[in-house]
Amino acid sequence: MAEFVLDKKEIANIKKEFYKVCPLDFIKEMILTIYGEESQTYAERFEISDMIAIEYKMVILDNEHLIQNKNVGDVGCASGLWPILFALHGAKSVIGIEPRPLYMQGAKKFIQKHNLPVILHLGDHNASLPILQRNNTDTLVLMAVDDLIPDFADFLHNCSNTEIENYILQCATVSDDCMKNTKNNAGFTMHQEAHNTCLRSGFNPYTKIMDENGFQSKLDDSFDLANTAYTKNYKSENYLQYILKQNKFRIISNKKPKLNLSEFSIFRHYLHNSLSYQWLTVSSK
Amino acid sequence: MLELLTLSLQCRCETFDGVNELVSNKVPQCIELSINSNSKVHQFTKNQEEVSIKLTTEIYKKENTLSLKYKNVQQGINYGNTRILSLRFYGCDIGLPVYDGIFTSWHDMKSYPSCLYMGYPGEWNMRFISPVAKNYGGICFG
Repeated sequence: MAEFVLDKKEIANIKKEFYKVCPLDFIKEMILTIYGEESQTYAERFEISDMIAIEYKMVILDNEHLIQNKNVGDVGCASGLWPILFALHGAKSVIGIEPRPLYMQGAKKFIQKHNLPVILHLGDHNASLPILQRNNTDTLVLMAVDDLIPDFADFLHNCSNTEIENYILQCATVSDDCMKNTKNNAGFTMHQEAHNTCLRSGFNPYTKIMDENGFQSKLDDSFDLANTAYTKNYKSENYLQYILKQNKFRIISNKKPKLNLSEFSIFRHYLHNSLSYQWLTVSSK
Repeated sequence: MLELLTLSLQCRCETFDGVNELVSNKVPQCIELSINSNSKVHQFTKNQEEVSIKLTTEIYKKENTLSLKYKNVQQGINYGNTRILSLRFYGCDIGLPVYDGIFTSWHDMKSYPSCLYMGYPGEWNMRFISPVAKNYGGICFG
């Protein structure tokens, strides 16, 4: 797939757009409410990163018609930034679902204070579909969860059996270039085994060491690094499209801006060079 | 300056050996958390006391080392153990990367990687990369 580059000027313009809808004071208050008093120095110097700006363009600015006056769902909504942004962009209602309870209390407090049409639920992807269907979700946003959900293809299949019409996907995919001399292949999945020194604040759905909420939150001597090894599944670009088509999704747009992910996270240094984010807008109708 | 970092380390004093029950009534220890030229000292006063030691410091380098060590150690005294519970950057628990720390025991001068239990006086060091919100997923908005 051809990549395109977002230059610094374009990213600066996106940031301006972001601050028009979500002013700096508003986002600083959000940080302090969600993360508490120790985030004061972070809030004081906060400015949105290039990565957030790119995600903002790909997910929101390029899909405003799928957000305004729509019931939006966000599976894996972390600390609630994106559900809040969907609400600021005119969503009729937003359901955010996140398996980690860490910052949910602060996010809920902020949402309540500003009277935003956002409801956050604690749960994983399996629990999400009944909740989203009850809310008559029109648009489902899945940002950077494709490699974490172990059965992402099955999850998309289950989505295809719901009434949810629009999907905004941010997926980490690998180029199919290494398969260019082979024929009749749908694509491939790259498995990367990692241990959960991660990333997402200790959340690991695969580990055997879990507390009652399904989280690996107990950092004690019983921690066994070997047992926390898990596999991330990166699909190739063609394979992701194959899965979508098999489930009768219509691909409306498919974008892959050129990103140097090593600039964004040290954890990506050891990954395949062609791994990058790809944004797709798809419809089930 | 790369960032003005606020971090806090949560740890607990254990003066009673619950497993072996061999050495009890150790003397509550004094510990010092430091990064660059900034440091904060805490004197424990009782068994099971938990403390959150907070530091706000200017960070100029990409690679940094956080250090927790015993202070005012005297020969012949059995000091309490220190159990590191969690590390927070800007109020966000970094989760398992805290296991990247290495404990060096002054008792046998051995290094124990991924050890959060300081059973003897010694020093625990953890390297981290700044700016943390960019380099550690899950820290604020990244």
